Amino acid sequence: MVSSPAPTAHSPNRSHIAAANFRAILNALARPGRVETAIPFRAAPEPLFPAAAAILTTLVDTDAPYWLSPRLRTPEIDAYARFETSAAAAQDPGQADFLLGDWSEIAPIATAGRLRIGTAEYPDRSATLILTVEALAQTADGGCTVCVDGPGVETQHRFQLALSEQADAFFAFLARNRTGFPLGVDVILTAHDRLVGLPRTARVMREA
Amino acid sequence: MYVASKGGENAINAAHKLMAEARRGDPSVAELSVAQIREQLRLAVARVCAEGSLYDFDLGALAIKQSRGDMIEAIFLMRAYRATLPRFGYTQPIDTARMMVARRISATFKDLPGGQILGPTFDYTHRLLDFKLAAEGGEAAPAQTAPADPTPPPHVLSLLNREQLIEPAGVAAPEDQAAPPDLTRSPLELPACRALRMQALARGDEGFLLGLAYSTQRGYARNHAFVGELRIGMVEVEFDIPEIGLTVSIGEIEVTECETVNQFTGSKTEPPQFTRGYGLAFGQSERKTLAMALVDRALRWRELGEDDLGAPAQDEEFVLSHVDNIQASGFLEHIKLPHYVDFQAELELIRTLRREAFERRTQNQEAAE
Amino acid sequence: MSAQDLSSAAAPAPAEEEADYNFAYLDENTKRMIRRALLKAVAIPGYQTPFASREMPMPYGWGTGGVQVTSACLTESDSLKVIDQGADDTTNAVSIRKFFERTARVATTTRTEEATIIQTRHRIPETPLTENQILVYQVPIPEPLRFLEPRETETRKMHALEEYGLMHVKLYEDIARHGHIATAYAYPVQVGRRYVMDPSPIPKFDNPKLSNCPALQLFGAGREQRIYAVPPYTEAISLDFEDHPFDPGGVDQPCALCGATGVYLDEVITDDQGTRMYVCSDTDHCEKTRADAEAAQ
Repeated sequence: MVSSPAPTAHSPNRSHIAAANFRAILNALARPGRVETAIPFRAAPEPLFPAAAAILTTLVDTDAPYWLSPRLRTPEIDAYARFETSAAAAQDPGQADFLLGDWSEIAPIATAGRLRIGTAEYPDRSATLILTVEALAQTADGGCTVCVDGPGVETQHRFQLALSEQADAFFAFLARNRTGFPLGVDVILTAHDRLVGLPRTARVMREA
Repeated sequence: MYVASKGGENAINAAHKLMAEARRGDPSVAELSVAQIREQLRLAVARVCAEGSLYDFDLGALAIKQSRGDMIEAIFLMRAYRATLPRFGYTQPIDTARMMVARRISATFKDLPGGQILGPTFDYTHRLLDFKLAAEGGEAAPAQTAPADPTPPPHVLSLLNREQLIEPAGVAAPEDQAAPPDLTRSPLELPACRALRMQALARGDEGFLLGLAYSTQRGYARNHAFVGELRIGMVEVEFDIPEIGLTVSIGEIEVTECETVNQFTGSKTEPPQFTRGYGLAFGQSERKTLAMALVDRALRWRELGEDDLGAPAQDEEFVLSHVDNIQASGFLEHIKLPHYVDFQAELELIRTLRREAFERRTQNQEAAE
Repeated sequence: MSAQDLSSAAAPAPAEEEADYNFAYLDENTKRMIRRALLKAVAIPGYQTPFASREMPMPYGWGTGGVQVTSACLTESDSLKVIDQGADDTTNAVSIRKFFERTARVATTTRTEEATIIQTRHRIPETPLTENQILVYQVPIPEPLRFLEPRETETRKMHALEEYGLMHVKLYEDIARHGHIATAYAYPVQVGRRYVMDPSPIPKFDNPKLSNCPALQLFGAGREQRIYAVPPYTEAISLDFEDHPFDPGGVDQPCALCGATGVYLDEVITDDQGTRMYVCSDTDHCEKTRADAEAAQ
């Protein structure tokens, strides 16, 4: 007979940090344009940002395939992600629930229509993009000012974004993504320990 | 002066104490041990393990003791415990052809290789209360049994298979050929493949399945079932450990397996042949697996090109949505919880509707006069 | 397995041994699964996201969906409030609050303004919610179309096609027959002008509070394996008709205990002659109103 092991206690520290990070991510997507912070339980190897690593380790496991962009696919990051999620990164970005990388690396996949955007009956079966950008801030800090409204926003949320490569294409992509609602992807921007959520409902405008 | 009642917490604590007292019953009567339940109420324990989806006869016995013999409550305790257990992986499929059988019967052939083995069964007992059992301390005399045949008997239906009179076992519809989904790890999605339906039936309520199976026998999607074979015994459970590249045996479990032979007159694509219904459950669970096999067969109408007769047992969404007794009993019993806020809203609505109906009637009367 | 082994391996008795369970009871894998579903629910307001609900140590129908959502959201620094029918001391509210006190050792409160997470059954608190709060609803039947069409396979198509004609027909038939929409609780709303959503069996009196609420509202249906959400500041419009606008109803008199008006009242029968009085359903709001009145004197 197989004996029943007692329920295992996880390190309380790890689950507390995961809980705090989840709340940051939840707030970010519930209040698009608000800057949140997140740091993983175990420091991530460069160039994986702490915020991106925190999202990965809080949300991903063997039941949620993830994809790492070529720039992030270093042996160190690969080993880190594999240990933290108990799963290897997917080879095919079209299968992934979570895609991590620079916009310039993910843009061709989006252009090719290979991102999962859900189905009419199951719009939740769609990908989340965890994009790395150069900088994020709530108030003036260089970069461009981005203005967000839509669900989660009372009037308008503004934040500062530094994104040097293919920024025009990025904003065009967000606008297209929104018009497909309820289908579409959700985006989380990360820079160092900061993150900003842009769910498919967000109306995102770049101010001059 | 009216004061809103308080003290939900005290009431709950007091109720728990009363329940513990009631569970123990008269303290002058010896307390039941978990081992006694495990050994002497073995069929109850088997049901708790089967529908609790957790093979552990000690915990099953403990659950029965804790629940005062309320089977659904005991099953619920097992399920809640099971939900907290870490998952190490999935075992290899068990091979019931290699079962060490304690009981094995076929209703379709008089004699067959491996023979009919009645084993411990209520069949052919006269259902007379046995007052000898009321007297304590009785030891059963050891039963005379033939020495166990070390070669496991072949599955009866494989004999029919040679002539291709019956569909091959485990014919999988195309959607079933991928790794089977796990009902406990992903939300139920309809339409369901057979593997998923089987999981739901295996942990489903015995009474509900019995009623559905019975309804097919009485003509609500009749499927002419014969018991091809019913076997009960121990099978090995094997687990792959990829790290060391080995498959190891992690123990033995007792299961009941029932295969039915069902008439099938053929469809546009299939020639007339027998078809199968299948049931499997932990422990000695004969009635459950028989019922499961009949319901499994009824649910296969689409894949076999049969007509939808609108019978309850054919209705996959109906069966799968209502077969789980933990879901059903929880939702049924939740109406014991306070609902006075919704009830208040209904009260106001009914008063308004009545007032207006009276007003309208009065107006009509006045208009008529 | 011997009896001794059993006592050490078996599920802990409800005493001090909850340390054997993970923070807030659920294991991290289960929480991750729920967390992923929650984020999709927030991103698609009003859409019922399927999730692999687990068996909880309380029965289905008694708040397992809400408990799983709360468990997935709870952090160490939260302050949790649990209400049932608006009251903190109803038996099931007490039971759920104790569950989290034990398994998460989290601070609990009965005061709406102090709480960061409020788990509720059948009410929205009277005290206006803030941006720092999450309201978690326990949901019995998440599908607003379920009593018009029992099949999930059909209702899912209706949501996909935004085909809500059946619901409007039902409401209009009510008007034709009774002069009113005969739905007093679980009154359907349309969220963000897209998905029609069941707000759980709150009285329709509470419906206006759903819309453009500063707090995040999360809905968990355990038995039915669905999670959905109304993000902050999102429209949730009660279905109605131009010639029959939505009417939240409610009793037109003050609370007999605190004198508050414009709040939802429970009817209390005080003797066997049918004498009745009306008191606040929200016990915290009632106590606060009385304390404020005393302080003012």
